[in-house]
Amino acid sequence: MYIIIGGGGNISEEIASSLLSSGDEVHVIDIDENIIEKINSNLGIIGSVGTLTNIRDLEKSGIGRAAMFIAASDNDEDNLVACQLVKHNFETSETVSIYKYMDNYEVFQQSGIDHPINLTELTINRLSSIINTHAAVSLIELPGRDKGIISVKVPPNSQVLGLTIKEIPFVQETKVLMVASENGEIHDNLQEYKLSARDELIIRVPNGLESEIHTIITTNIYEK
Amino acid sequence: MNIHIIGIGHTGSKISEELCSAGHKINAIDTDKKSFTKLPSELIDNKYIKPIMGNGNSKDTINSLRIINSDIVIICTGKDTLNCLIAQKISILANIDKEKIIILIKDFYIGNFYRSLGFSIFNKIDSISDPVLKLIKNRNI
Repeated sequence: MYIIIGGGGNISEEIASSLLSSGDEVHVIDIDENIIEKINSNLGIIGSVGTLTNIRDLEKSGIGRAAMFIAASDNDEDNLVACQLVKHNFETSETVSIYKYMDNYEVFQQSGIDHPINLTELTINRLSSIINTHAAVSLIELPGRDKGIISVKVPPNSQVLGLTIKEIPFVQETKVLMVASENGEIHDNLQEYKLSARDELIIRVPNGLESEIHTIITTNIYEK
Repeated sequence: MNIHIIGIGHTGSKISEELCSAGHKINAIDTDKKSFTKLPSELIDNKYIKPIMGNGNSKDTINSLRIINSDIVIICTGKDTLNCLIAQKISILANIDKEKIIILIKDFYIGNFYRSLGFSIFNKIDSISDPVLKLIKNRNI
């Protein structure tokens, strides 16, 4: 697959390196000659000097035949507009934009970009999984973009303690895929398994219902 | 009309002055206090132009300025892509008609795309080149 990365910072170099090792063809464009020189010397000649929001520079990089465009510069606004231009002017099948500030969340979500990725949100999710919180952690967005996979930990005083998965009043289309105990044990028979405190549930959930599922699992037994 | 202008550089200050002279009430927004020195002090003293120090790209500023009550918003920082981001943010947060949001965009393709989204676009190069082309046409050069 031919992939173009706009912006050549540290994240871009890591992405490019990882894609190259999985056999993809990669091209990086950045306005800074020194950055391109560094990428070309580290990863082979895959970079060219250009502006990621300039149509001519994108054309020179072969955007017309790219299957994916990843905007990963340090500027949210450049990443936003670059992806929108690519989406509007070329038949590139997918656009991915990385952005830093939560303040820009609504704009990126409504921008028409196929996959907006917020670095702050990723960090919060990762922190939530390290620190023993009971927040719902978004793991994957599934193809089709209407469902995702989340992870939720069962608190010690949850209303679902001792219940089997079938007994939990989940909404339709929600499916518990896996339950892992605190000691790492994975439970095979989900139909009969009764939930214990600090179990981690991996759940497929329709988009927008994450907080509802989280509430069902984390509501205190005394609040019922 | 009640007009918000975000970005008080050479373009923003000139537009503020012209619109103020035409009788409009101007809220001039910039992150840099020094930029307001470009505005005529008598217009500020007489409260025809209200200088507001703040980041026009921040949700808090957009909400606190009550841009929702604005008749027109003009976005003219020095960077095309930043102007585009601010325009989209205001359109979503303040729920203003896109055509009432006027964006300064130098790049032809970015300008065309944002025009297709419904925003109003202006371009300094067009503003200069159009009268020149008209002049040439009229004189049959």
